[in-house]
Amino acid sequence: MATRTPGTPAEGEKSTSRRPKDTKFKQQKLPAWQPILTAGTVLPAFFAIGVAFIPLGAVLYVTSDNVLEYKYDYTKCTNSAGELCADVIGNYTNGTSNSCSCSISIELQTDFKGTVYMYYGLTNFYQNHRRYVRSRDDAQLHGETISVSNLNSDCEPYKTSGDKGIAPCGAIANSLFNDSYQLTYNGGTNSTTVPLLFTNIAWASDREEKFKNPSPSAWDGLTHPPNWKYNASDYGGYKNESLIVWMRTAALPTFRKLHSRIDHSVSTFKEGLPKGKYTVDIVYAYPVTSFQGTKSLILTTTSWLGGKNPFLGIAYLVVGCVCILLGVIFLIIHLKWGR
Amino acid sequence: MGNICKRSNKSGPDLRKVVPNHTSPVQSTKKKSHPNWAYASNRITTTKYSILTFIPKNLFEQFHRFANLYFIFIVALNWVPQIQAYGKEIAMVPVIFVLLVTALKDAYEDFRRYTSDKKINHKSCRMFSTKEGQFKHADWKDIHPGDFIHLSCNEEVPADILLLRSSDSQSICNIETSSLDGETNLKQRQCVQGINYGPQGITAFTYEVICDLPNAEIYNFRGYIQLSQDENDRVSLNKDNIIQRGCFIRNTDWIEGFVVYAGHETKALMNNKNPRSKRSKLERFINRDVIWCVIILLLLCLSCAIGAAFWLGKYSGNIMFIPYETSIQFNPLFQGFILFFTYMIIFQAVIPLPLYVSIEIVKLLQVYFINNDLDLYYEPTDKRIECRALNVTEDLGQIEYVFSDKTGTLTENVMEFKTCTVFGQNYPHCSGFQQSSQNEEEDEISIAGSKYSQANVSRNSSIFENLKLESELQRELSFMTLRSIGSLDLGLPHNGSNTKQIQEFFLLMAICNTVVVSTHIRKDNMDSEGHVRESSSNNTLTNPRQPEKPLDIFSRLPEMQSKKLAPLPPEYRARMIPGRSQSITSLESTGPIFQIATSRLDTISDHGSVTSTTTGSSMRSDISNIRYEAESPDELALVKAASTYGCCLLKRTAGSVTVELPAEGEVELKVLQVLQFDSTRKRMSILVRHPLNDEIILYTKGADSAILSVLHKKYKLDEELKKVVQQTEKYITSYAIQGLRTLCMGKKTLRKEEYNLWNKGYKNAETAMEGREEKMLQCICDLEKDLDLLGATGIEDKLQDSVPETIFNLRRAGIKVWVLTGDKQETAIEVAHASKLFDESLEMIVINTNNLEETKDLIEHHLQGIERDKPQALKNQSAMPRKSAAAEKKNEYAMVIDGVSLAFALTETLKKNFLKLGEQCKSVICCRVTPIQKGNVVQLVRDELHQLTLAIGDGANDVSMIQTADIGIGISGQEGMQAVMASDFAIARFKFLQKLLLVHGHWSYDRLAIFAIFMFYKSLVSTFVLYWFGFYSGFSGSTNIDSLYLLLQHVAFHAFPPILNGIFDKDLSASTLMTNPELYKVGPANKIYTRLSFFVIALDSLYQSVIIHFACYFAYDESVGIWEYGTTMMVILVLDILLHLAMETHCWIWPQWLTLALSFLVFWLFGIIMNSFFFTWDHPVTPYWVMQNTIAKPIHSIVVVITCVAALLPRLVIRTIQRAVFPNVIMKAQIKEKLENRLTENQELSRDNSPSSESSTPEDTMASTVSVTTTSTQVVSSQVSVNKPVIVPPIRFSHGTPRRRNGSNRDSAESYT
Repeated sequence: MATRTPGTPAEGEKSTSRRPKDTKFKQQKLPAWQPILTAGTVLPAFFAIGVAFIPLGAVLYVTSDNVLEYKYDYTKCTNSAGELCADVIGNYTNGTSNSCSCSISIELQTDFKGTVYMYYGLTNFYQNHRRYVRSRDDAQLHGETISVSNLNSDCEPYKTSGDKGIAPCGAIANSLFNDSYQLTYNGGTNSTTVPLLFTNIAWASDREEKFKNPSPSAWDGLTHPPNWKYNASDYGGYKNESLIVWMRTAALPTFRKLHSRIDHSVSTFKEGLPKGKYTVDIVYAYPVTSFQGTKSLILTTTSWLGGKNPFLGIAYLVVGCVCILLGVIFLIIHLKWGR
Repeated sequence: MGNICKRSNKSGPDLRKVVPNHTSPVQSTKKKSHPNWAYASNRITTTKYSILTFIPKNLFEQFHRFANLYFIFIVALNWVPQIQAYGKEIAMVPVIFVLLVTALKDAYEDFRRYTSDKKINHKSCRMFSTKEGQFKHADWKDIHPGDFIHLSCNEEVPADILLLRSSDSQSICNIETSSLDGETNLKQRQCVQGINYGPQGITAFTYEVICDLPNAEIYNFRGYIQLSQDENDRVSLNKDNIIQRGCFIRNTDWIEGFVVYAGHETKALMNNKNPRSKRSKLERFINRDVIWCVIILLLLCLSCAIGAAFWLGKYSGNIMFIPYETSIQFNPLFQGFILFFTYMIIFQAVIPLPLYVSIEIVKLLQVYFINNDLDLYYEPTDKRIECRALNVTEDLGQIEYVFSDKTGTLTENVMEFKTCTVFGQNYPHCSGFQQSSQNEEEDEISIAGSKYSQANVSRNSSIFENLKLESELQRELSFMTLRSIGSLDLGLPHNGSNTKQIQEFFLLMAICNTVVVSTHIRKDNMDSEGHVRESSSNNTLTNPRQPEKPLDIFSRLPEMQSKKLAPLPPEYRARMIPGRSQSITSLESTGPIFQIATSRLDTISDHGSVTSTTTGSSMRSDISNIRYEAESPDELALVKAASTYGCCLLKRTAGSVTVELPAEGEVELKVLQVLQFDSTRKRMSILVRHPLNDEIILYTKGADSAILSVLHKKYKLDEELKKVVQQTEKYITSYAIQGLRTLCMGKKTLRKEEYNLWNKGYKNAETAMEGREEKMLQCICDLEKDLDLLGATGIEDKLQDSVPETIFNLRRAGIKVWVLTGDKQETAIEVAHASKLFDESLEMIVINTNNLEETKDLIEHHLQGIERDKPQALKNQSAMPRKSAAAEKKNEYAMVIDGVSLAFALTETLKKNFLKLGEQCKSVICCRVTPIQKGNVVQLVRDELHQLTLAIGDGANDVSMIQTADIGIGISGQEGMQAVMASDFAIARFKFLQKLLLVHGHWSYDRLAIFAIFMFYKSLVSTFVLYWFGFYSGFSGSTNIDSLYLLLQHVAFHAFPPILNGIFDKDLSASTLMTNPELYKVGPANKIYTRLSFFVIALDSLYQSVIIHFACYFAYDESVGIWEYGTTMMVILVLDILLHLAMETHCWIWPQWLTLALSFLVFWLFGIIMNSFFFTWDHPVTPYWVMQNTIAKPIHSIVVVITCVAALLPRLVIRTIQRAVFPNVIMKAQIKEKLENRLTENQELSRDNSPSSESSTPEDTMASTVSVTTTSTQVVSSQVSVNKPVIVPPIRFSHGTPRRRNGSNRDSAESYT
């Protein structure tokens, strides 16, 4: 109700009137824009999308195409004795299992210019499994001191070992990928070990804030996960970037994770990885055969878009073309039925 | 109510004993020792909750709803560790949110009830205070049975009271019961007899009152007062002694009463039924599709469960990524079973959780805007549309049958005397003559005197305006004296003049009614504090303790005003006439009580004297002070007409009636008996004693059939008299054809002995213990026979403005209009023609029968006839499609059926065929129907045809059909509140129906249909996206999207834009919808929310989800973390849903833009802000900096853009092609509307500052192209001019000759074009 303003009696009477207010809002007469999707009005939009998407698609495609990638599946790698490493290590590492060394030789057909990254790829490994994903305690990884009983119960059965809590607890940490690689460049006269860097491979936010080590004394009551050989503190605690990368679980069962960066400060590799032959010495410790998985080693450069993936370029090109095509069809429709 | 009954049962068997509170030694009625303590006090509470009980009670109520129960079940499931999909606490957020919103809504509604209760409870009245020994000001809530109440004129009665004392010398009191039963006539109540109050005043009443237990029977009250120990010393009490809560005291200075029932035990409140909850047709559709959602949910869960079992079956031994693999739970079948429920939690949103609450919010706001529509506001009565039902707005857009009452709905229900016939002689009154000098005074009468004046303000018509006095009648009446009337039977006129009959006729018009005359200000000498002032008038209430002050209306008023007496009914406020002198207007603004006082003062100051009913004064000055309050508008018209001729009703008391005769002046007649009108007799009578010769004369007026059937037998025998009757009948028929309401008058002279004999029988019947009603009826009928015919009157009931256009447009909108009226067939048909219900294109089927067989034959005959004509039309159509329009036109029918035939037609055997016939007819009129029949007809159509029905009416007789119909509309007009109380919507004029249905109905339906479809789409697409992830996560029940997003999206991220669209979106502008009623047809035909809508939207959402998921899948490929992946997907999902909504939006206004943009922004900022903090309660996501890292990468935006485009492309393409190639009616109209707007804009630009005018060219072309079929195109284009805002003159039935039905009715049709 309107406040009664002192004045003429007529106003006083008005305030008691139940007449609705004649405002544009209340009378539903606000100025409106009424777009009508007719062939005529949609036409320009289609052409505009087409015109924008096709060059963008081309750029994306070229960008992806310029990324160099070398991938080697070493699941069936054999040791010097000619045994399948997969068979040698058995089903489960359990800390003390056999390790197996194998060596593979690879050849880069072109120079890998720019920063080169080394990835390990796994297939059929469901890092997105519901119980697996849950099986962690982020508070523990944040460096908070948590009593054994207060560890997240989702960590079970990797929550405690005897009366000691497991650090880091849970299935994710327990299943940490533990193959190690040594890359040697065989080009030129002598072999050069390619120096690998294990820093800055995880998100800055993760390594700086999300993962923190507790006070040194806090490690006392804790033990390592069953599959690990040593306590986490021996690997640099929760600040271990390989662990951090692993703990950021993959979205899909076929995934690759950043293993390391090539150190380009060494003169040979200043421009990237030169083409030629390389040897990778692998300590083969991670069992994947039990779930029909595979392991690969990937060397790749990157672009602003990421790794090598032509999908987006193609998608943009296709959608752009479809839009142009539709635009033409609509033009015909518009000329025929538009009036 | 239950507890009250129980309590009463304990206190006594079946009677209530109320002891006057001042006799009780215990003061407080709250104490158990007080004799009246067990009875409910007058405090009413209609609230459902109190502050304490709100939470448990509201929760309990909400848990009763199926949807809520489902979500509670889901939340509970999430607490089972094995099944748990989301964080336990987080999963509750949406449910709690929805419960909270619903609770807030309920709390708001309850609060409104509370405030209205409070207002009522704190109304003021005067109650006798034992402590102070006088009446004191008190609140209504403090009243308790056993208290005494003092009420002044126009005060509302706070509780059911026994009338003890009244200012009236006859110990009667007039009350108005309109808020109780809808009847606006004044009723009389009688004080309890046989009690001597003496100087003690009211305290002399020390007797116990024994009466019925509280019950809901308004018309029944039994009880007695035990005056002494003697068993027989009783005063019996009946319904005439009781005044019920909610009535208003009228025409009586003051009354005093004794409270017997209070608060919830009053009859008014016991009659208050809760409004039934209606479920709209659209909601039934929605519920059907919710079932489909459940099916989809189960299918999804089942497929996931099976998938999980198979996936797990592949593995054996220790698998690193499956914790607990060694435990016993590692059983694929068991895991599959568990996962079924896990997925139920994940896919819970398939059933849209906020669907119901948001539908309610949308409807609430739709109602708000309907309520605020200026076009539905009626200035003269200051009434908006009142939306009483909040949950059926969309039904307004799907109506197929409209059932309308005639009187008061199609017509004004303001009667005007038009013509009369006296003794076979016709006296037509030509209209149009104005006597300007009298106008002003007459207006005063209609404003101050008529209860119906509110509606008159616009028309200001009085009898003088339209009634030219008939000179012959005037001459005959000019020498009318008491001596010249009465005496002996009426024979044939001797010298060709029937002076006697004319004079008798007008005397009857003046006195044979229940019109009450009020001539002076009602004043009460007690102020609101109970202080009594002595006045010069005959004051029976003397209280020596009170200082005497002279009565001064001005000095009294401020005190009354300051105490906030009961607010006056609005009609009194409406009587205010603008333009008062300053002193009065300043008083006016201080309170409602002044308004009446000043308005009355006005009458005084304008005309000089307060009481001017003195003999000898001129007639005009008398009239200027007379206010008539009539039972029915007919009576008012008759009394006014009579007084115009000089035969003026001046005063009516219980035992006498005073009239002024032209040649004699004031004359008082003793009234022996008034036999009230009832629907079985259809007539009323008055018995008066002639003051000169002591003859007893019976004057009877009533329906023509009711009078003509009880004429003296000489009217059958005597040829001359027979001719008179025939003449009269002829005129009556001709009046009816003109659309006039007819009343027939008769008289009879009784001998004294005759009367005494009858009176004895009547008194016996009155006091009979058994079958009293029948006996009285019989007795009255015995008297009302062998009458002499006097004549008949024709009273016009004017059509409301714009009724023909409204009905015509409703018919164009494909709505079938049935008129159900109690009126005569001829009148009904004539009104039907006038109101465009019938036109020349319709072939009329009339069904007037007297028995079942005949009805059956007739219905079948007509059905066969229609069937016979049909194939012909079809043949024509196929042969010559061009001419089919003409052929089809001939095959449109209209049916007229009377009440008797209808009774047969509604029987079990015939109703199917009757309905079939009714379906074939464009319009149907049922005349002479009873209220129950009205309801039955509506029920028949509603239940058998399963189509939405709307009933509109204004009177108590329409309540049954209003309640039966899917939508009931009450006209808040003249006949009280009954119809309004029963209705879902109350409008002031019939013409508002047009905008209500064609615009608001259409909008509401369109909005809500699109809203509901969209809600389903929303939940399906967001669920399917999760489903696809199952294939890549081993059906383990994992989600890639943060559960916080998933749970919040439907209540926060994309909850509001659809609601806004549901409130604001307009597919077409109001003017387009009004000018093209054909567009309404999409509603009844379920064109927007069809049976397929759900599946179409399900397919679309399936497609969109595939695009969303797989675009992300391929674009991100291998090197992506689960939460990064999910964040991108969520961004796409939100954007996709919002853009989809944008595509579905017809019309953009800023709130929509704003909400849409804000919604995305809120989601986005929520993500960013939430992800800026480290917390672990969102296990296992812990989304620290995920959003930031995700959106920082260019790939994110690139994926988002391509996915949204690809997902929405098909819809856009299909929509566009549809619009271009196969446009539906709405789309066509939209395009036309746009063209038209552009045209107007251009015109405006070119004309430069010229006012925008509707160009006729686009409108015509639009009308012709928009219409659905080619056949109706012609009709529309030829009649389109009707819809232009042309002022249509009010329809008058001035044509003397009856028009042909089926033939050309051009003249009437042309008058509208």
